[in-house]
Amino acid sequence: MADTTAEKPVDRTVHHPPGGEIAAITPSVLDDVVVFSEAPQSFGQQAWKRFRSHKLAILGAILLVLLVLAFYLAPLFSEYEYDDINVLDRAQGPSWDHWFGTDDLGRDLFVRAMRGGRYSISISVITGLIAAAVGGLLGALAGYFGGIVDTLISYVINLFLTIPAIAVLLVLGVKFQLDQYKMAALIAALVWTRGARVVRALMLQFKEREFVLAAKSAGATSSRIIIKHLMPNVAGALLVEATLLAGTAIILESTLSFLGLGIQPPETTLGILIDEAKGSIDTSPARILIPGMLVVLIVLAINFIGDGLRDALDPQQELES
Amino acid sequence: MVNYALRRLLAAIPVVLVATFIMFWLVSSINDPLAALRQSCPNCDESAYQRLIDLYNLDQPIPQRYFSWLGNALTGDFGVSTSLGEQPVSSIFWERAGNSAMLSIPAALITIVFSAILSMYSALKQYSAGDYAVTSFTYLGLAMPTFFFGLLLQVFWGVWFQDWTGLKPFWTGGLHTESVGELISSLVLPITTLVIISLAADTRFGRTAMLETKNADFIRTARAKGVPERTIVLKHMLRAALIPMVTVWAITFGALIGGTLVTETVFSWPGLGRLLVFNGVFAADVNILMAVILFIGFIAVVFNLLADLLYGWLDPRVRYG
Amino acid sequence: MSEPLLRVTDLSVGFRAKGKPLAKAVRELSFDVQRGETLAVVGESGSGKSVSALAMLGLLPGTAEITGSAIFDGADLVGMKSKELRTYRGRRIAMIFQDPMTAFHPAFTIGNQIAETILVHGLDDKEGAHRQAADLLEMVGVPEPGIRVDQYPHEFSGGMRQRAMVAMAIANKPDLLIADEPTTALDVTIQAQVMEVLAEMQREVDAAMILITHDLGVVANVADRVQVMYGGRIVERSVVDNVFYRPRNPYTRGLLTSLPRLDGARTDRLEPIKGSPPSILSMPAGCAFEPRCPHATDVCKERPAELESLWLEHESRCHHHAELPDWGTPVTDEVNA
Repeated sequence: MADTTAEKPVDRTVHHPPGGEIAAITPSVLDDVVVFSEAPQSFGQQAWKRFRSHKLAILGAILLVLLVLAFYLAPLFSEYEYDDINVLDRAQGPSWDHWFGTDDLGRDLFVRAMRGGRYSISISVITGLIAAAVGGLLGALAGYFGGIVDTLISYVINLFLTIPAIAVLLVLGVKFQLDQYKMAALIAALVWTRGARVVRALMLQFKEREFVLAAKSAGATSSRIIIKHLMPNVAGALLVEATLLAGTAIILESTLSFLGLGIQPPETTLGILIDEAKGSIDTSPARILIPGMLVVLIVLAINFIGDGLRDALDPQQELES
Repeated sequence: MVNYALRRLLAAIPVVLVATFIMFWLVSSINDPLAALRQSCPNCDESAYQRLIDLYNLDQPIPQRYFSWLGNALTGDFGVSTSLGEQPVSSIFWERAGNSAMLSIPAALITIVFSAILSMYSALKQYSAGDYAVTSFTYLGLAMPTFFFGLLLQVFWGVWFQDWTGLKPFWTGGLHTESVGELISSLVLPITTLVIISLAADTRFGRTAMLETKNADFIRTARAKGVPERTIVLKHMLRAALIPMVTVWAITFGALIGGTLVTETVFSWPGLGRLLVFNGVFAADVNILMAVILFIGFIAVVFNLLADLLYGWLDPRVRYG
Repeated sequence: MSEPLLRVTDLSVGFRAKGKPLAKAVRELSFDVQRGETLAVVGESGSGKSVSALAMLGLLPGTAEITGSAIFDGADLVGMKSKELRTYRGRRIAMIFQDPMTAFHPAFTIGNQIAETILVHGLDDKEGAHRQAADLLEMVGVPEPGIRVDQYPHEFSGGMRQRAMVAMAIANKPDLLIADEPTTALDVTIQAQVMEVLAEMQREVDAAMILITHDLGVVANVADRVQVMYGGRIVERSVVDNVFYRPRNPYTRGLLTSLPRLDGARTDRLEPIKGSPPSILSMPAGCAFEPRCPHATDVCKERPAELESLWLEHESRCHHHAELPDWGTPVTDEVNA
């Protein structure tokens, strides 16, 4: 009946649904259009595949590797030290001898910038790790146990959010000499709350799922459930948060050293370099550009990687509230 | 709803109190005005020391000092400034607060309006050149430290533009009130600095919110009912995306009001931020420090509460009776 | 035979992922729907049943590629411009979606959303539309319709929400209802009720219905004809009794045997069909069902079968439909009930 060829030839024109760009794929349509991969892959394999196809993330990873290599290795190729004062060569522009030029004391800016970059990297890594660890732990405890533990931890989180982080950093920075480790610890102590909130929210969600009930009825202890069953689900989101926190830490640290706090001269950070350069903003305005762009590049690279991680580990992203 | 708001406010009060107490304790333990006086004025006699002791209640233990401060604060007396010629803190505060508001309120409004427009545009024209431009902008904005962007603006408009055209349309520092025109041209650069970074963050979030809404099932239902596309975007999508976006806007608003610190420093703007940094922290003026911190904490609480209330108002699923 | 209300001819829907070849979810689909009849479209996830319906109403993403025609009352829906298509959507053809919780906008009242479909198609009277919305809710059996009409979707239970969806769909007395898995998201206890409401309303407005589902049990009482889809194609089609009692396609038989039966012995095991549906990205060259088919032979691997007419109004797409063993389903009173 209906399958017999029609009287007129079949219309082979390709049509697209109207309202093109605005009409979008709704998730339920894709449910019906089942797309399996050829062979079942582990979550890790799938995640890696997704990360690899995220072009920005790869760009970010390459950029970060290049920057790290530059910061730690490049100064070895220069005959100058970061604190070599050489008044005769002061305030020069870029040249073959001094790739980034020299500052008012004749110090080679390239080596100083690389050294500053090292601080940015190390502080961001340490801060990210501490903040992720502390935030992850407290968030997990708050989310899983609920009740008074949650109330207490949430109260602490709110407290930290009410205290202006900048003010604390300023107050402490003025009084105390802060080396990179103290700096990292301090910044971590002020930004861990974001990670904690994310982990707590996820914990609350997952806590009710069947696999947790199954583990409980099999007699697993709380710590076992948290570590073995829940954390792997949360680890992805925590990792993404950690990268974001690392980026934030770099910006915070550079702001502080720009204001003259934290790490002090003759040590140099990118923030200090910008601070030193702003004095000659009229004569050589470009001097603030280099350390500033380095900060931007580092944070950009970290953010790209963070985005790639988010895509890779949780393709159906949920809005953070 | 009013009940809920009151309950939240009441619950927030202890948090603010504890936060201010911690800051007070921190600052008081770190600063020793007597030692500072000893250093700066070795020949000062007993009466100078006694004055300091009276001023700061230095003969009392810290908690007691805090409660004296608190008691006075509740009646509107925030003490006297030690770094600004013993003026009452309240009058200094309000004047500076007004200056800061001149920056933060327009910046917040511009951010809200433009992030809405950019998010909608970017989500509706996904994958277009415009979308890529917007996304690139958000990445860049999130990687840029505020102070660096401010400096860039100063370099561009204060040095390069002037070199190229001989004109300097905008003030690169300071609040100039000689005429309305001067006022406006001194506002432009600092407001732009404030706007760019929060605009990047809000647009990023808004774009994600819009994309998720665009793909929602209820949009497909509306289309299936024959609702015209324009109505779908302006009534259905906007209303749904507004729920998360408004909460982010409320928080951004609060953050801008309390976060002009760096911008004011870079642009020599006589606002609360600079008051906090130079007088409160660098000059160890405790009364000023506490007043500003109390203000920032209060703002944070109020706008967070506002964010929650707006969320409840806009999303019927969450409403509190 | 009068002109069918809807005549679909060689409808194909493909999706193209970046750089990959076209993945066809629906392949040269052809079927008719007569006025007033109920056609059930049965198949597993991935069979293309929902996609074909969405394609007809232009509800797929702009990147979908659609060929063929779907002639509704003289006009071809495929390739129709937005403006014209909108006069059909919600008025002449109405769709009922699977998950009523996500299908309704969370921030507008149910009444507002039902009224919207009335207002969008001509009526300019907000009060009147609101009253109509309440009346519609009453018709579908929602208790206290006057109050409920001003409530939000999350305040309704699942079954009531689906009833509200039905109300919304029949508001403009459409000629064709397309119900896409209307009971799948509901509790089993409610499914029958909602199906009843749906059937009743269909009769009320004198509409034809395309009932898309994977649940054969739902189909038995309601459908006039059934078409079974697999891998984007129709594999069997006939009047409902033929499909249930005299199936002539291995897939249909597999579906039937995997259903629990009231008259079976309590110890009978359910027999699922081995394997899983094919990915639309890598369709086999031959019959799509061949890898899972107990009757498959070499010819099945080589090429897919054509849809052949067996006898009066019974078609099957299978190389071996004539050689299939007898299907021993006695027609008993219990099953007929």
